[in-house]
Amino acid sequence: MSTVDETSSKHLRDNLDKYTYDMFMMNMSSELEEMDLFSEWVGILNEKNLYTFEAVRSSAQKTEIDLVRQNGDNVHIINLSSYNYLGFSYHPDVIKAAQDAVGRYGLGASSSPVISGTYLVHKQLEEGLVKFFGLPDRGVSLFTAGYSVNLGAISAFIKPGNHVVMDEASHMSIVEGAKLSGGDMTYFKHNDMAHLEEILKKICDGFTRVLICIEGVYSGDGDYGNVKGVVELAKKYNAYTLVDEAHSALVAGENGRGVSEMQGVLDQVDMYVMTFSKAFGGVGGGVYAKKEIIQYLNWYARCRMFSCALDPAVTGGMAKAVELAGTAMGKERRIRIKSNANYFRSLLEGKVNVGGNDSWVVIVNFGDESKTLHLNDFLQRAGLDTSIIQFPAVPKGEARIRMFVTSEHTEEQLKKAADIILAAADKFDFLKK
Amino acid sequence: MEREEILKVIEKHLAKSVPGIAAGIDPDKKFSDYGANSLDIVEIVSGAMRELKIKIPRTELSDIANISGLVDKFEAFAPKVA
Repeated sequence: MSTVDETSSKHLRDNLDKYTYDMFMMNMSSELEEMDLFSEWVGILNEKNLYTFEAVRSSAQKTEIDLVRQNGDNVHIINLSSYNYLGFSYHPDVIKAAQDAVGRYGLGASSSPVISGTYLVHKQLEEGLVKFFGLPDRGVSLFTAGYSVNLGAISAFIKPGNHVVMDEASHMSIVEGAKLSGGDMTYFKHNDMAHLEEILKKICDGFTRVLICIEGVYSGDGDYGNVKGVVELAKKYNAYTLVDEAHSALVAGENGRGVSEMQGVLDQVDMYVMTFSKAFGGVGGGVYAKKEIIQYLNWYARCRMFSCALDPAVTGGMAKAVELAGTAMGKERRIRIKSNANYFRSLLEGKVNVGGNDSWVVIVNFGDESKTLHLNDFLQRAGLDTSIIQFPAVPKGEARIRMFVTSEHTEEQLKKAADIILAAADKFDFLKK
Repeated sequence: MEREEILKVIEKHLAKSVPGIAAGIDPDKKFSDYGANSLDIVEIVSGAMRELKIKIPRTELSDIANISGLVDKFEAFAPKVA
């Protein structure tokens, strides 16, 4: 029986737009009130044809697909909501490699990687990555989720009494990894090197291990991290660095080695994190680091040790994706994703607030989160799927439409997408005055 | 319930979410000034509500400017003693 009383239910109906994610996290009694209330919220949104989340795809994440919304509505959309940056998830060679791997190894790995779950295909992916990134003294530790990489790597590297210093725009997996480690935590202002140095001056005493965590491309803002600046400060103060290149590995830099390569400091990053659900087209993640660190993480990143290894099919497909990323075709797709992103941004600049982003994650700020539900519904029905983020993922009043441009989008699709965004901006009052 | 008592409970839950906070927090500051992120704030507020046994309606929490503002809400929604 629902624990939601009549007053709360009425309040929910009258203020649908004002309820944000964090409000359903409040647990104020022993009853399951927040779950009942959340369930009611989703129910009402479906009733009003406003629930745009969890829409079902029945094909690969191509640039234009059909979606079925939870209430059964069908919509045809231009897909700017998937991380399939280089289109590898549906590349025929990648699919074939995955099929071969499932045929040879079966469906699951059936064990932890440190017990009996390491297969030849996992070693092939690790070796492929070491070759791709080009530093022979490095190794790779594989994880079953990108989230787990930060959770496991940070909590294995940092112990109570050590310190994690994070950019304030860091992904939740970095924050949770720092929390799990039991070390002290400090945030520095986004990409602000002077603030970071101020913090390091206070905490780096020659005895405390300090890990600075940043990202290559910040997915909430679409801008690049200052990897070079952070690496220089880390050297100066004897600290270590973790650079999460989830949205930039295989994509940024001339050879696809990320923002660390772009800024000329790849060999100075202590732990380079990648997420395989992005440009790799698969799922899982990995850390690229000196072999001694990798060996330690393999055993002491507990969420890795106590999880089953990556499934063979996806691993085989991703090994092929890494191989393709190193070919002329990979290079050509890297050039195309950048020109696509620049073209798309040029259609929006001056008309809406695209912020200071310059990557393939294109952001359009619309500010007021109470517009989110109707705006997202409008965009989908007009033929565009995006990834809207709002509080608590970003500060209050800074809600934004986030779009992932890929190398496979055509100019025609991007033009149509921009027209839809501008029509939405007119209707929902976020055109630049 | 005294403001001091409420503030102490809030301080305890802030310290749980952000280790290393020195005792005697300044109520005029925001939680973010102490390094708490938005999800930490949810944990701090719900933890304090459970401990103080005071229920603040969800939408009342959206306009709190600083720690003192949260203390005000707890005072406003505390059960009235006859």
